[in-house]
Amino acid sequence: MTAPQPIKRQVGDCAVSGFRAGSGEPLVYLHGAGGGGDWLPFMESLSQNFEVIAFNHPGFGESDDPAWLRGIDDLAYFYLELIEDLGVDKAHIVGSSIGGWIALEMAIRSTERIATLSLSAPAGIHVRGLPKADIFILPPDQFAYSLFHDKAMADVLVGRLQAQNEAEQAVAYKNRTTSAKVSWQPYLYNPRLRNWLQRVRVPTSLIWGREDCVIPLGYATAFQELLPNASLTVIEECGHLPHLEKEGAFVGALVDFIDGARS
Amino acid sequence: MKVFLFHLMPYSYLDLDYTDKYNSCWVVLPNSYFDETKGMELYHRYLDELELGDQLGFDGVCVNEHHQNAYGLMPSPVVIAAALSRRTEQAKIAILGSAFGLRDNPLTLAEEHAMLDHLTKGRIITGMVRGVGAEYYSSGANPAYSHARFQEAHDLVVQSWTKPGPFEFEGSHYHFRYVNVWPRPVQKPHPPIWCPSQGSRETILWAAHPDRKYTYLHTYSPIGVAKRYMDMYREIAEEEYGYTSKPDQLGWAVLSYVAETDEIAYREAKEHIEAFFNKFLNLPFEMLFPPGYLTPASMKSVSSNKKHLSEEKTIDFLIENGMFACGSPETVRQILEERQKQLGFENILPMLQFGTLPKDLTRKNIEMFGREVMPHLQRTSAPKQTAEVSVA
Repeated sequence: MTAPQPIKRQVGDCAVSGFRAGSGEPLVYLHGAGGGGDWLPFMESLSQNFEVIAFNHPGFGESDDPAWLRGIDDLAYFYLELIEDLGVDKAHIVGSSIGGWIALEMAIRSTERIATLSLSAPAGIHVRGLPKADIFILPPDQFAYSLFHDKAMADVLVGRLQAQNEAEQAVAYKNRTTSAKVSWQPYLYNPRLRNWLQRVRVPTSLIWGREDCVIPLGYATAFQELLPNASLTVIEECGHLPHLEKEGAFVGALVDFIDGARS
Repeated sequence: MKVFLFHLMPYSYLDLDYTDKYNSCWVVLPNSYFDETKGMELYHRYLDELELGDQLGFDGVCVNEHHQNAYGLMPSPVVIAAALSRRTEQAKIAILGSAFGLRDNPLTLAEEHAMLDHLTKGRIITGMVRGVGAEYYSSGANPAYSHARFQEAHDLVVQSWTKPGPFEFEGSHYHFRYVNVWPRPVQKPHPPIWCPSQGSRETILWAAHPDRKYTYLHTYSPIGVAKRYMDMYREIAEEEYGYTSKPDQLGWAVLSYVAETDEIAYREAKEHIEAFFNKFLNLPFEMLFPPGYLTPASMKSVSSNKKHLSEEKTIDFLIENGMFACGSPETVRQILEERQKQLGFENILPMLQFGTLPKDLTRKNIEMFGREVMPHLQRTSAPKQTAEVSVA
């Protein structure tokens, strides 16, 4: 295993930090509301085939929290700039939850540098009659149990949350605050995104845990109808975070999809 | 000191067993728990209680804003203040406060407070609050912009009251091409502004600023905490801003119950004050502090105290910690005079109805407080305090 290389980039007045590892076609990972900052097993697996690039979004983790950051569109423009700045010609974009929403907001603006989109239970739209879990109001332990289908994995997360030191708590609060900034109301979606999803013509893969309690599986069907070029992989016995809960199936689905998109 | 009768107007008929099913009477408690017939009776009863305060000679009566809960039935304190305006004669009517920053158009509140200033012939005090964290769930306002919107809404409202209109206002959160509030308020330059808070360095830094010198009103906390924040106000005025603050820049809201003897007071108040703290004021941490509502520094200090927040509180704990003044008129008088010496405030706001306290006991409490405690308090004034007072 090669250690991931920490990276820092500055776009405009905002410096962001993250990791880079592996070689191959560039793959940019966009994390969800919980934040980035960890080099995770699924990234390690993907780095066998790709050059994996994973930043903390502006307002998350060690990255700057710029005053201009007010909405999800700011993050989309930031990443479009960042990818250009990295000199990446075409990237595979992979996003989880809010990260998937950022990816979609990028793609409706420009797919010039986007090879494929892989969206793991993305936020971004609202479907009537399909409420999302309130990620802000639940106490952390209850929230952990709503994230995972496997209670043992939730237990591990609860243990980690309880053991957080002050610095980790401060980062968690920063992440929650930025998540609220961009997604408090309308909750986890942009009413104006839906109409422009027709512009996203690049190969798109939706990956969803069947037991997702945060953004239920019904959203996958809605996205499939709205996105012109999207396939769906449902992962069994899995909650909102397939990349953590079913790492093997997640990586497998991703690699197969990108292989398929090449041919 | 000045004595203000503060009423929260709770839904005192709340079925207290609701906690078997719900973790709070805020945000998530279904409004099917509210009975319209009882609700109507309560509004009229509570208005009578505030009007009684005016008749007894309280310097002011106070109302406030909370949304979607059983804790307080005044989502619009302006409505209650309007109902009081022509039924009261001398008492100030303090709205403690209106949550200007929760509104997408704070000018509607500026207009309403200005109207009230006319209806009361200049007896309005405008409290400005951010609203408690739960309000951000109920209203949809984004807690991450809470401080910024509060301050910007304040600037907008004060300008609308003091600067000749029409003028443009372009802020970060509020944008108006025409600010031209009719009517302009009666009081000049504008109604007094108070800042109710449960303790916040940011609020104090802002309120104590020489451009504002607003009255900081401290609520609920143990006496040591109240003292820390009032000392902080004096210190900040002295050291950050170079002036000596006056005692009338400080106020203290305190739950109080007066009866014939200490023993009777304790017995009559017990279940109601405990219901107030444990059933009406039970806000889970995430509801109380949504993300961004507190600055990172405040979040850090609050988190370290997290366990204490959710503890059940007994009447003995509340009395020992100075959160509840309970006893005979003599006892309560002594407690409150002692608090004034310790804390150096000039405004005291007894909260004489709390939780499930019924009509007869509330009336007795208001009358005994008004006749046997208040006159003494109105004759005392805060000792000269300076910033050198030790910070506990």
